Amino acid sequence: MSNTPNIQTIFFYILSEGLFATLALTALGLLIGFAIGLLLALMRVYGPTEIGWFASGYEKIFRGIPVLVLIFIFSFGIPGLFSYLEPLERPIAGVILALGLRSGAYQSQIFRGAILSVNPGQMEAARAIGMNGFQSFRHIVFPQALRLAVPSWSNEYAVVIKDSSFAYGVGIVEMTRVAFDIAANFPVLMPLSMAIVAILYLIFTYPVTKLFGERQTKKLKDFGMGGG
Amino acid sequence: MKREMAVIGFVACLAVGLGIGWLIPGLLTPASTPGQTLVDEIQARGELIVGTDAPWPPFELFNVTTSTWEGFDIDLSQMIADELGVTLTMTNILFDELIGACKAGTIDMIAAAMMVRHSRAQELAHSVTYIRVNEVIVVKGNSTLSITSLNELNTTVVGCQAGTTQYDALVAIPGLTEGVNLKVYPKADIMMAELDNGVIDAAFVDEPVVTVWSKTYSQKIIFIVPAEPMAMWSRWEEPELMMVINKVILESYRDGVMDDLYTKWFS
Amino acid sequence: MEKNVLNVVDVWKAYDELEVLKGVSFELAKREVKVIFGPSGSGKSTLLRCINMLTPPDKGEIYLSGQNLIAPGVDLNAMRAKIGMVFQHFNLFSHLKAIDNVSVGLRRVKGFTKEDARAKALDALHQVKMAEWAEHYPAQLSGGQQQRVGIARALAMKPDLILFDEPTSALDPELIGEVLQVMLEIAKAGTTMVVVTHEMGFARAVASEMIFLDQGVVIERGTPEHFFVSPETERVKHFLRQINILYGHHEELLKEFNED
Repeated sequence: MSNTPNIQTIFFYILSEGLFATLALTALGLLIGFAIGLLLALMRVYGPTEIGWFASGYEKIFRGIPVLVLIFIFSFGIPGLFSYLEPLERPIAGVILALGLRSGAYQSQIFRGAILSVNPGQMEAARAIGMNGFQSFRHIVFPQALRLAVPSWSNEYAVVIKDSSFAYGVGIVEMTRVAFDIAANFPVLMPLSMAIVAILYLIFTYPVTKLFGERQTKKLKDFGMGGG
Repeated sequence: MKREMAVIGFVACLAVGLGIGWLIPGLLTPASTPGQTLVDEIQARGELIVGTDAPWPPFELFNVTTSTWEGFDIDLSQMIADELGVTLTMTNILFDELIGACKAGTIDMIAAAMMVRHSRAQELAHSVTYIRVNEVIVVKGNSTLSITSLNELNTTVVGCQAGTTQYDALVAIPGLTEGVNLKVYPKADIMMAELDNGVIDAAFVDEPVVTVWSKTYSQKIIFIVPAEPMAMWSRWEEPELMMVINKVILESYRDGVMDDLYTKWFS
Repeated sequence: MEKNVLNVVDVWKAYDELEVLKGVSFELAKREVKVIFGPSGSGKSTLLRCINMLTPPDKGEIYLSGQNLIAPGVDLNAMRAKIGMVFQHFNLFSHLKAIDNVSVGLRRVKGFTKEDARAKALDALHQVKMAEWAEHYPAQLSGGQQQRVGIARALAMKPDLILFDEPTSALDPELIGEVLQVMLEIAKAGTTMVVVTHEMGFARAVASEMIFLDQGVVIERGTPEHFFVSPETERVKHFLRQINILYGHHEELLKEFNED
């Protein structure tokens, strides 16, 4: 990139320098969120009341704190956290943890809603055949709940990939940071750089939410799934 | 169902317990072995990790064309790394978080044109000062604004960068209210653009910053405040690193290297 | 006790304040078909769900082939595998094809291999004349077809008895016949059944005993002839008069069937 770069150059530069980090942070955050969210949903739907309170409390906390604050807390706020990692790896772990904990709170709602949407008759029939609770959940309720969760989940993916942009503040080079760096080098290109990175985020969110959002909901209806 | 829940509960508790048991030793054991200083650790690692907040030309800027770091602070940091015999790794962290990052151990030291302030000195140790930079009020080239003291800024819309000494000075001025006629920016680039657009009437920045940005926009200085000098920062518990930093800075003064740097970056 | 597949002894069930079952008892021998009928809200569905312990009774006992299901330490899942159930709203597993609906119990509960389970499932589908629809999903089947798959799902487990909870009540009239046909056939083949239904024609054809349940209490019980020739209580007479229309509906089907 010499002198003033053009649109394509900026586009591909942001992609080549920042896309991997963005996608990696998003994927790991969603994964941790999935594990936490599923666990919490199970606790709230099938567990005893007290356990349900714990899950509910977790949700309230991590839905109520801004992601940026969570990122700072887990990157620099807790002394000794991740001390067994290399210094520069710690903010990365902090961001992933922050994203994952927050996503877990939202995914918990998603899965809880999906599980409860599965027709209770399904569970009845499964138990009537002789399946125990775990089998009924794993083979009958869970597969259907997953399918029902897809539209909301695609939305959550969009949220997490956008939240990953906050990582720019703690020394991680992802797409937003790269866009700012370009603008720093060529101040007159700041609006263009921002516009391009905005479009890039759109490219990674819009098709997914469109594809797995309304279309999927319609497909599910045709399948006769859900509908309480 | 109850039995299955008990199993899940047991596994969950096990996971939580492992997490805590793994985390707590991580929290309790020091990152380095006892008797080892930060300098030893840096040399064992082979790299010096320096935190900064780019862009803040001419002190620090990540050049996307060459994919290298450039700036006054960068050159000094490189000299320190050379003295330690390791490579230099710069990392870009929001200015407000630099002190927290250094205290947490994510970065070894801060080189970010950070002025010496009492509140900062409570948190981290600072080096001998390496540059003294006046603070100036800069306006658009064709502006007719003129002031005889900073207090007169309350009749204008003025901007500054967050977490800076300029910010501290401005919020203390009666009649200046953040969000109303005092605009705070995370980055200088946006601030200069808005100065040019007329969103703000004036900006309160370090003089060298004007030197750089006046190449892009038409600007002039209407007021000068002599300001605190700047220093590098590292943790109080690691005097060995600070000794190396001070050695490099003092020797640069002595050998004329510092003068060369001033010329290189501020003329 | 031993010769009976099922012994329901003095079962009581209440939901909060409302008492739904108040001391219901009956016996079921092998190859018997018992029809339970009565007005809605009489506790018929609740009774069935007490039998397979989906909602355990508050008081009373349920004996399956001599084994008391209420006793502590009973492996209820294993017991339920021996009691089949066919639901009013089919409750087929929407994400599975018909063949998988029938085979999943064989695989996961009885532990058959995938191939074995599939073969047995296909047999069961043959029995209900749904073998050609094996690869279809429930959403692609009509109500009558779905219910037949539901019956196959119960049959495949080779249970000691099958409970039917108003199996045709949710079906369009023209589809009721095919389901009743299957039920008649398996009844004639010797399946032990407890059927909650309004289909008096079916009861007249194959029921060994009919039980009239109203507000959780057994009002009257007897053979079908008893009910249709000389019912005793006013309640029963009133009820039979009300469903007379339905009763006449499947005369032709019954005629055909009895001629076989």
